[in-house]
Amino acid sequence: MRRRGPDALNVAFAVGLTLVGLYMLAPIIFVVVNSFNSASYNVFPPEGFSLRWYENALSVPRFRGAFITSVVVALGATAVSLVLGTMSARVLTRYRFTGQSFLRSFFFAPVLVPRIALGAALFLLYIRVGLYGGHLGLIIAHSLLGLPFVISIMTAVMYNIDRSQEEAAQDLGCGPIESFFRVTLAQLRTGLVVSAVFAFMMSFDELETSLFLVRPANNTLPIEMFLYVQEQQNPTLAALSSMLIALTVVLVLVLIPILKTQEARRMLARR
Amino acid sequence: MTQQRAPGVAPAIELRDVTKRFGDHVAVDRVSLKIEQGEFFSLLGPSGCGKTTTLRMVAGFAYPDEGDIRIAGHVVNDVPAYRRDTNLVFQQLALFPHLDVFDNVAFGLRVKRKTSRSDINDRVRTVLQLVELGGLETRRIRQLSGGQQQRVAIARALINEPAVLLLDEPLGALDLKLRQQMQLELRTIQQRVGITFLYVTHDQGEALTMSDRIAVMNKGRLEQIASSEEIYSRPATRFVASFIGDTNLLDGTFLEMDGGDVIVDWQGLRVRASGGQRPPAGPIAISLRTEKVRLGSPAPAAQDDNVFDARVARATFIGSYLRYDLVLPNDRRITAQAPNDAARHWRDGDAVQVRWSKDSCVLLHDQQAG
Repeated sequence: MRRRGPDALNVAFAVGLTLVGLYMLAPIIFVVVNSFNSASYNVFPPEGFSLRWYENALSVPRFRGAFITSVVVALGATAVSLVLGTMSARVLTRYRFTGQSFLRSFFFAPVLVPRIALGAALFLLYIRVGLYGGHLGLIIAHSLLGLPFVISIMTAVMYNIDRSQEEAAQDLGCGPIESFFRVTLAQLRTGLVVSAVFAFMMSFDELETSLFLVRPANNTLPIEMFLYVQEQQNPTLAALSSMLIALTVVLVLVLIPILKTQEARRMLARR
Repeated sequence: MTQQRAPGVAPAIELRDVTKRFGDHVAVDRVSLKIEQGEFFSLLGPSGCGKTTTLRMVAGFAYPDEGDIRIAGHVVNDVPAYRRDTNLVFQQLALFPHLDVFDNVAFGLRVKRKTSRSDINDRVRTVLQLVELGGLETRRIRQLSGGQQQRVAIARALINEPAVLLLDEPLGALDLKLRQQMQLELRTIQQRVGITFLYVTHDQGEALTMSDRIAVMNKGRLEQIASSEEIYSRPATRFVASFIGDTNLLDGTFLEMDGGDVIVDWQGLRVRASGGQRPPAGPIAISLRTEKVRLGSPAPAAQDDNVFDARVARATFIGSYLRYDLVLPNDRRITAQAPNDAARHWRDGDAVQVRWSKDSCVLLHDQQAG
């Protein structure tokens, strides 16, 4: 395609993409603007500026408890899916065995199973085995959702590490375990960080599956927000959502230097 | 002389009846060889002949099922790679992409934690000079050309000053020109540092160019160990004769001795070979290098011990030489190579006289396979 003067087509593309971008941003802009609204009901444009809904969001005890639950569960789910996912990826990339390609496809299955269905299934199971309503049940459920992402990212990263590199390290005097740390793990760092963020967000944001698995005492933050909006329509939720958005933005800003590396680009291209 | 071993006298590497099996497959079959200190020794053979397995056993990545491996006189059968005084230049190089050139080369010294920081600096710089990579210390591996990566791999191994440097077809990925250049450089480096090199390759030209001695392997067994020149001009077996260089194998039977020469009946033609000793009765083969067969009209010369009429079945222009497929009176074919500067070029169908000396005939006593 020509890339010279700004002809009509180029202008049309630019305008079109900007509109799509606005379309994507609109809900976020709406919620952030609304969070500073002084009125106690949702109105747009806002009637005045106020921080009272932030104050309110931070002072509601059930939000505080739910936030802690969500963080604990998300950290747990991240740890489980990182460990299992990295080990699975190692096996998938280092060894040849029958059924390998089937297994690789199988590991993506949780992405395809509707979350509602997964929630219903786990509910029935948990009732029997006594996991219903506890943190552990949520951690297991969320790690199921995070695992496919971790496996696909870690598999892609490990494909790029020549297996003879660990042998080379041993040849140069490293023991087998030291070789793994100095050579392989050193190159997995980027993949682990990206996987961890994916797994964390997957869990922290989860609503549909979790709905089936919680008791009121250990509601996660998305569930509390869902319940809150059914009772009250003031901008407290908008303030809470804005804070979560800010948290995500900070995370992404931290990640950008990592995502800019060649390694990360290749890794994401593989998926 | 308190110990059994005598440093400097013991071979750098010694293999005694080394056997390695993978399931039912015998990858290495009773291989014995000695590599002297400071020698450039090549293991040459087709893929799957066991040469890489042999190398990996010397490196400590595979262990022999039977036999002993000694490095500088010590049996190292059960010593893992990271405790052996050998370093390997891998076929795929296996450089560390997350480290720069300096850190790759310094890896071995740092792991062993015996060298001070300033000594490491000095040694890395020295070895990088040796492989002509001075100034590229901070480059990433991906920023280097294939030839430069090659040099980093060699430097990374050499800096540890191993008793033996092992090289597993390290030039395989390079294009022909660069490859030939690196062959000569490797030879120069080896002579300069004086470290024993054990080089594995399937490329006969590479082995002939660089090696002091060559061991030819086939199907897990050693066929011959000899100098480059001897391997080429006095192959010991059919396999060595046909694997290295272009040769004609004339299968016949021993006829008689004639004035110290061996006369072989090659499917109806009498071929004279300088043999010396009377061969055992039965089948015998003659290896005749294609460049030793000369073409032309009769011009009597003392060394033309074998002269036959022939017909050119096909003449092929190769460039620096021409190849002639010739049909002899016994309906057998042989191939001849003539330099491009020969007075006359022959065409398909031409009648021509072929001649070769008895000294060009190498007698092979081993039977045809199958």
